[in-house]
Amino acid sequence: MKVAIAGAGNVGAYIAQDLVTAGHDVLVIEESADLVARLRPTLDVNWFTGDACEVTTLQQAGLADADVVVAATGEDQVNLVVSLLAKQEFAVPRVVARVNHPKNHWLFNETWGVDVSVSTPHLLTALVEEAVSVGSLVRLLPFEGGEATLIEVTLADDSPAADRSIADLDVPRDATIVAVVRSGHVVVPRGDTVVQAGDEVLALVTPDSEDRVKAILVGG
Amino acid sequence: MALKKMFHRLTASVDELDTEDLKEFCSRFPQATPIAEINPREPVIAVGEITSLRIVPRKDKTRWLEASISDGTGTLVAMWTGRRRIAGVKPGQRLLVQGRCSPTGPGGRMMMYNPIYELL
Repeated sequence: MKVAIAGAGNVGAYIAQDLVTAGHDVLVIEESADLVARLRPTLDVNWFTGDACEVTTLQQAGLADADVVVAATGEDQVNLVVSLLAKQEFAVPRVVARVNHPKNHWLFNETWGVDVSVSTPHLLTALVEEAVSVGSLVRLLPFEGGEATLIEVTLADDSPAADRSIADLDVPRDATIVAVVRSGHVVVPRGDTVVQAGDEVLALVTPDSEDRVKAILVGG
Repeated sequence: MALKKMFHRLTASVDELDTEDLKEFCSRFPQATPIAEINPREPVIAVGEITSLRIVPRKDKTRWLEASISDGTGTLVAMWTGRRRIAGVKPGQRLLVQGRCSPTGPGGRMMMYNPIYELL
């Protein structure tokens, strides 16, 4: 897969290294010629020196045949412009953007051409919540620009769902239980699967069905 | 030959005749690529007629204008972001659009974001 990364800072360079190791065709666009000269010997990717906010730069760099664009610079405004240009001028199928300041997170949506936004603080919050919480609902990953969300609930002893089969739970039609993790094993959920206290239940929900699923799994 | 043509015009369905008219009209633009032959993600010019217009409500409370454009060979979707109406862009309008397509529209149709357009 051809991946173009805007910005060769710590984040960009690291992603580039990872993707090259995974066997992808990686192109890095970086404005600073010094940085490119410094990184070129250690990082075996295609380099392009130029301003990623310029359509002509992106054209020359060959964005027209990139499968994925990652806007990974340290500046949110740059990431937004790169995302918008990638989506609208080059019709890139998948655009991933890094959110530097959590306060800007709301801007990173389809209007700006962003398919997936990655915000370190938000990811950390979700992971910390997941690690410390039993018996509460944790949102792990939004899909389709927030139309669906992967949630996780570790069932507490007093969960209304404990010791009941999945068919019995009466999950709403626009939500689904996708996996049950029990003592390190993934249990593929079927109608007759009985969930127990301590199980980690993963479910895909829509904003409408989230409250109902919460009531089923958490109670209250 | 003339008789055969007349017979055809009398017996063919209205849809069929409309499509033929449209194809004939679109073939007058040599710079345009027939929609069925558009390659994804290449700069392209297309000519066609707006068959339907939709205002797409979005979660962030903006409205996007989506026009299905047909030239008798196929249909592409032009999407103007953040616009609820554009003067002259209405069903039945023939227009020329220029931009880059990707097959991400409804039903895998070619989708063009914010194309340069020219009313014909």
